[in-house]
Amino acid sequence: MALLVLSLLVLAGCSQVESAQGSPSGAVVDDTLFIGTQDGDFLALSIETGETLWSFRLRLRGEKEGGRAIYGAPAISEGAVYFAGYDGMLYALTLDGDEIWDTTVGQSETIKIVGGPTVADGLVLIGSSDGNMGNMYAYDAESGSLEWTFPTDNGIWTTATVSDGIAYFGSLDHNIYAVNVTSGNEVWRFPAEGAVTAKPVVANGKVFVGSFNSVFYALDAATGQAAWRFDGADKWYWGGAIYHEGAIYAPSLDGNVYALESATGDLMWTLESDGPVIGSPAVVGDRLASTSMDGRVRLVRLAGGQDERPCNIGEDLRTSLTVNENTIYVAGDDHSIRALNIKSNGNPDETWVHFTDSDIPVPLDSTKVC
Amino acid sequence: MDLIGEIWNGVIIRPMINSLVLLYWMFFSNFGLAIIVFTVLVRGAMFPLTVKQSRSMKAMSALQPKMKEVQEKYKGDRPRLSQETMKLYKENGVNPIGCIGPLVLQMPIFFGLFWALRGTLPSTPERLADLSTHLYSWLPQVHQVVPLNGQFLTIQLADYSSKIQPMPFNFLLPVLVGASMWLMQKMTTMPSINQQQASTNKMMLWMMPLMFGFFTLNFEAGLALYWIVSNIVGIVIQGFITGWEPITTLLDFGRTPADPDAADGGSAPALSSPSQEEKPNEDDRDDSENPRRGNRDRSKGARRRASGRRNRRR
Repeated sequence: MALLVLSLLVLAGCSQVESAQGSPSGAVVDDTLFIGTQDGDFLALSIETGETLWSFRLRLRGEKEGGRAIYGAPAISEGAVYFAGYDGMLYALTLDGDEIWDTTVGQSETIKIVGGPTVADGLVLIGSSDGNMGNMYAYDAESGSLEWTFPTDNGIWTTATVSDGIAYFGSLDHNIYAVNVTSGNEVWRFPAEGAVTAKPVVANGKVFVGSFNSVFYALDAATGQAAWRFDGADKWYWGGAIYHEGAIYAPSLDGNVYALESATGDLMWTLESDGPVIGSPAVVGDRLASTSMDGRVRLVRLAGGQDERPCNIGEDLRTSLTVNENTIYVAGDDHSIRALNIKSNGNPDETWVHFTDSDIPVPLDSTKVC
Repeated sequence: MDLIGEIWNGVIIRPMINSLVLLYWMFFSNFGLAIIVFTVLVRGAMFPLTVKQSRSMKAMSALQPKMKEVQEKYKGDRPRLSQETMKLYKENGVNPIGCIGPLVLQMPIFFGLFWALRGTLPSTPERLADLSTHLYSWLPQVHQVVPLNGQFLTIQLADYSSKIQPMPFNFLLPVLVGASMWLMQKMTTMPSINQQQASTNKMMLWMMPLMFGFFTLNFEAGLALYWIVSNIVGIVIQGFITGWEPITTLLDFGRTPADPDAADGGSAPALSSPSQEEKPNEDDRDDSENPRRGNRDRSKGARRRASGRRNRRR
């Protein structure tokens, strides 16, 4: 009995409400990097020095644990930046940091937002999950008024991709949807046999997206019919794939990034790592950059897929990479945002680091990881 | 530490998570049913140990009168007392710690289930991504049902019991855990041989259910469901092995005078009646030959009549 009591005490100690950490990605406009933090702020940083140009503190709706976490990348359009907090608040700010509007998505206390917003045709699209249901909401980009709602049978954690007036997104209800952006009407849906959290990529008339059933699909963008499927992964696809010059680069939680022929789905090469790959990779020059939960940023030649000089940051890396010319920006679970300049020989060189949980500047020499 | 973690994950956590998700897939995507079936399977797997524990407990109970004699005989001589006690155990083939086996085995299961439930019904996106690392890639069914729906009879099993709405349903699971544990305790508590043990037994009978009920408030509702089902299964198994008298005595409360030991929460009444104390070994031999017989073979009326006769003798 004493053992039981001891066990209870130990478990009671472990029994803390887990907070969402967030995995924000960034967007660059002119000389500014716009990015959320794991500390509940949205920042505008100088891309040259990493200095804070302005910051915006997310409001905490109610007493939600981890409510200030930010997932997904901000969307920038017509002089405004849009982003959402995990607790369901959607914000629109000017590029100078002045608030234009904000709204409580879905007007629900239990709503959660995991994807990022997408701006198209004057609307801001944002997916949400509310218990075991989900909705795609469309808000007017200027006023923040709700224009339409598209319900699904489970949460929508994907950031929508818009092409030719159609929004493509997946849902935890195991479907991939195509919805008319103007009307909010369904065009088609595809049963993916697994939950979908990855942002779809649209290119050459096809929609490319992976699912939790470890299958990567290429669908006809007009009809939703499967063009091909790739079964080579061992675990789920979580982050979105990217398209570049006839190839698809798909990250998987099995630790690999698969380079596939976009026309046929044939495997060209695989970039391996020692941890799940959660964030989307990015193309920098003639190289592919990818993060992994093993704490490394890897760079490989697009032609061959050979691993070249990884940069070991040593922290869990779950965010998608942001690229501007030859520089990639990566956020780590140590509350850091780092700028890595990729030299012509493929070597990454850290140019600055910004720790979001500290106001004290950290000399780069003491923290330089590559 | 990494190796221990790997072993813990590989031997306890991953099999548990995959079993729960597979049962969810098999039982109509209902996580409550998955937990119930999982609990029954776990208790079924431990059945031989439970039987052994019960027999050991019964044998210990049968030895109580002799133990009492030994204690009185060697009251002031502690070394001799422990020597004679061990001798008594040895002569009767009783292992004094034999009854804690299933309890010790339950510990990793309880701990494992705590983490497995958290892993299977993740509360944050990060934890959902972690779930992928725990699911077997050779078991495609488990990947196809993620994320799991934790709803069961209007209760969200991933929520803390204290968060269940509306009030006062947030106290429902803690009360059920406490009540089922109290019954379980009542069924398994050994007879007391002196006043000190009787008061200890009484304290445990009430303290454990109260503690478990209190802690349940801050545990996931799924864990409370496991504990309730586990207690119910345990009560049924115990009843078939050692008899239902502790429960029937409770049902008879008010109609027949309660056994003094039972009243203080210190004994299983079937084992502490004077008639049995007179011939403990004979009675024990009968039951050990046919452990399922026990008091089950006696009708409720017969037990009442026997109880009445005992009371008249007093």
